[in-house]
Amino acid sequence: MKQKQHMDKQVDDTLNSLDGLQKASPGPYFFTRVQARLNRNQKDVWEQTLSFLTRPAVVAASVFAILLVDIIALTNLKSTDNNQASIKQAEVFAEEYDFTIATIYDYTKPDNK
Amino acid sequence: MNEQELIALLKEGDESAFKELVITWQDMVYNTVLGIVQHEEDAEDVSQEVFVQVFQSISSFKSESKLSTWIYRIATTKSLDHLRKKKRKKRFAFVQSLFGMQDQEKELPATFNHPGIILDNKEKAAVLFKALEKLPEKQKVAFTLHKVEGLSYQEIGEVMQTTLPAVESLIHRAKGNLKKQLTDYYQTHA
Repeated sequence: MKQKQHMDKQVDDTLNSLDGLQKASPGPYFFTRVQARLNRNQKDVWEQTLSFLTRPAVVAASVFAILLVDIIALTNLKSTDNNQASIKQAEVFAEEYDFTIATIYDYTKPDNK
Repeated sequence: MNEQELIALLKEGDESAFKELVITWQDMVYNTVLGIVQHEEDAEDVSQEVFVQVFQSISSFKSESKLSTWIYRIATTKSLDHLRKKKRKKRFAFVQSLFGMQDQEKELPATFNHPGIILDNKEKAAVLFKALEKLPEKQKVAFTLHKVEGLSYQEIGEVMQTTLPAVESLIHRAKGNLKKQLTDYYQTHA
């Protein structure tokens, strides 16, 4: 029982150990250091941009994006070639079997000449 | 110079106004940050970041709250960001150590001694700060602002942008969690 009371007192004392705490202060010339940091931050914009662009992850992502665009462009090019070839084939086939003639009058017209 | 004049000058980028702001609030900011990050050099670094942020975003300050409340908000946010970054680094170092890429960083001695603590309370305060580390972020901020900065619950509510009952509940839970941790600590160190 006594031990529990002792422990409770220790816990309460610890919880109240910040009472009467004096405010801590930063080191001297704090404003000068803040000012230097502010100037450094303003100067660093270009450096930050460059360092961002030269990050391995950014470089890898850019290369990947360029490759992806290339692949998509190549695939599109191939499919347009295929489309054009199949259109030509269809035209040849249609001409061969006179499918290009839309009406019966079109068909009879050449015979009248 | 009153607060409104100071804010107006700061918005114009006036350097002497900024100097006045830093000198007025540096102890408040440093003390708050130190209470949360529990490391003197880190606290100095984070405090500088706080003032840089204040200078850069003063144009977005709309005077809906007091300037001090706004600065406290930046200070607590930056301190928590710093702790998260530190935790991430620790985790990354641990993963690297698992793959044998790097020896696991040895933990620094855990005791933090706040320079403003009365000599008699130094040992107990170090135990309390250690326990504070393990609290959830919101409870930690509320308890620190109350105990280290001496803010009222109302003021804490304004800084944390929450209601008075929410602050009361946060501090109540913080005290409960701390009590549990401290009891365990004293049981094992009896």
